[in-house]
Amino acid sequence: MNGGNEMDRFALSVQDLTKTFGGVMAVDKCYLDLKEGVIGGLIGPNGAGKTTLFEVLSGLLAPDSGKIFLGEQEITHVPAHKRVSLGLGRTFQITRSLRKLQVLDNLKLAAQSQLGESIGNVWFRPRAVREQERMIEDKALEMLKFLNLYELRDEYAGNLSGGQKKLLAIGRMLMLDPQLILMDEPLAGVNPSLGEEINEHLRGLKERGLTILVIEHNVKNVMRISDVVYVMNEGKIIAQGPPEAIRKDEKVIEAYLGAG
Amino acid sequence: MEGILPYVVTVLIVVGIYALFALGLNLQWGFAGLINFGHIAFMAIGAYTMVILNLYGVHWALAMLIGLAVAGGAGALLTIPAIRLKADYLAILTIGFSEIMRYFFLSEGWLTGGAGGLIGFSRPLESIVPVEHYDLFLLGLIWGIVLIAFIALQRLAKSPWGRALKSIREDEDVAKVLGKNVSAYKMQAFFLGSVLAGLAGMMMAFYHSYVNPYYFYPIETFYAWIIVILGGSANNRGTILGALILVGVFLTGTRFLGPLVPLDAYTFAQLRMALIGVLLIVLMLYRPQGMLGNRRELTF
Repeated sequence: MNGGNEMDRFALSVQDLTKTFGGVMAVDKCYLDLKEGVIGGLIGPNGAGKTTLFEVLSGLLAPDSGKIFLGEQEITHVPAHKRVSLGLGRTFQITRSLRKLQVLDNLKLAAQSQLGESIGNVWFRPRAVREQERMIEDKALEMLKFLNLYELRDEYAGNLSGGQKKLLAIGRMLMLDPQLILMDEPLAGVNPSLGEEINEHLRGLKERGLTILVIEHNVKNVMRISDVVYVMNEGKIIAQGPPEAIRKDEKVIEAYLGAG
Repeated sequence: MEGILPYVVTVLIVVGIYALFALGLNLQWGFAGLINFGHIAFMAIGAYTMVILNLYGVHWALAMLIGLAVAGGAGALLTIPAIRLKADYLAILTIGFSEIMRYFFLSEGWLTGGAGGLIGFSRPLESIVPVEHYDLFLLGLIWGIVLIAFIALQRLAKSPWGRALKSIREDEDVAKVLGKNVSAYKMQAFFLGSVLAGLAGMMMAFYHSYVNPYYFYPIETFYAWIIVILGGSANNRGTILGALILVGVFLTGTRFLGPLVPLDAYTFAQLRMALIGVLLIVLMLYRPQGMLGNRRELTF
């Protein structure tokens, strides 16, 4: 934070990361560095290993080898739930709302360090739990207003539309107060105006200093919102750089963008 | 006690024991979505630990506390291999465990009395409560415990802890990436549920003044399942109501109908089970959430 060489500060570093399923190299000696405070776009053909990379980064899958750093700290063997407290948040490709919880509860659930998540506090410190719960609820309601979901706060998440579920997933992730967020196709199946709304949210988050890595298939959109684009193919990052450079890269054109 | 009163006391004692037992399962299945087909094992572990310690001279109150810790600890330990398992494998693991425990109590006669069971242990406040009123005292004790367990579980159900448990039931991976320590929650749910099962087992031992392995067949676990589903998963009130209906009406309450129905006792017992089956099927068709459950939060 205090000056230094800002250029070299990475929010996320992936070194020599490998994840295989049987004989399939889903992620193959992958390297990736993402600078703090930027939006990175991760593109690549289907089966390139993008989502698997996210699963490994968030700790839901263990890598076979390699290292992952969140800022300065190595998190390769840190369990998923602890990565959250270190500032990592993610959303899923297929929105996974907790269908049988109400919208408001979906968000409240995501607040960290809740006193009421300990049985002892629930039984013996009910007042402290209630007070914190009120603060969490206020924060969750603010978030719902911000995402235009306020009217739906008491609805069960399973009854939301696809686009509303996407927004809910973003809100839930933001309740974590993350520093680095991984988003798996936030715009898939979303209408253009909602897509623009989500883009706006991403830019707003970047302005607040967050670092974002987005998997996206809509190349036009990736080029528009990303500061840096990573192209993944067969488990490796085959190219990275500013959008203009990527658009002209021959390897990328061959593997993904296609000629023309 | 005269007339019908002893009978009512008996039925309500048994209902209370099953309510306690099923409340433990409801925490694991209704709230956390964990399929425990071996719940009866923890009832057995609680009961035997308490009885054996008492027979070796440990005061009944201390023996109960240790028994609860052992039952709860066994439940928590079982989640360690179970953590990697998805729903159906957890079911296999737990039912296997419960049968292993039953055979252990059956075959280790030097410790457990084997098939003959164990008698001669002391019961709470036996020296103070007159023996002719002891069942009435036990009834009060059991329902007092049910009430305390109910309040404690209701608080948990409405707390952030309960919310996290429900999120695990819905989608473990989401719970993890929202920072929830899923393994720890499962362990806690198994610990508490097993403590309740252990407590129910002790009450049963006190009620019979006797314990033997034949109390702990797997069918008992499934009675608890019927109770939870009948009353409504994830609803503690429903679980108590379910116990009242299954045990009070079907298992013990219909006994007095015996003389009125032109069937021998065995056929009548079978008919009773068939009726429970029909009742469950009808319930699943028209009220899949159970009697008091919330349809919009259906557990499965």
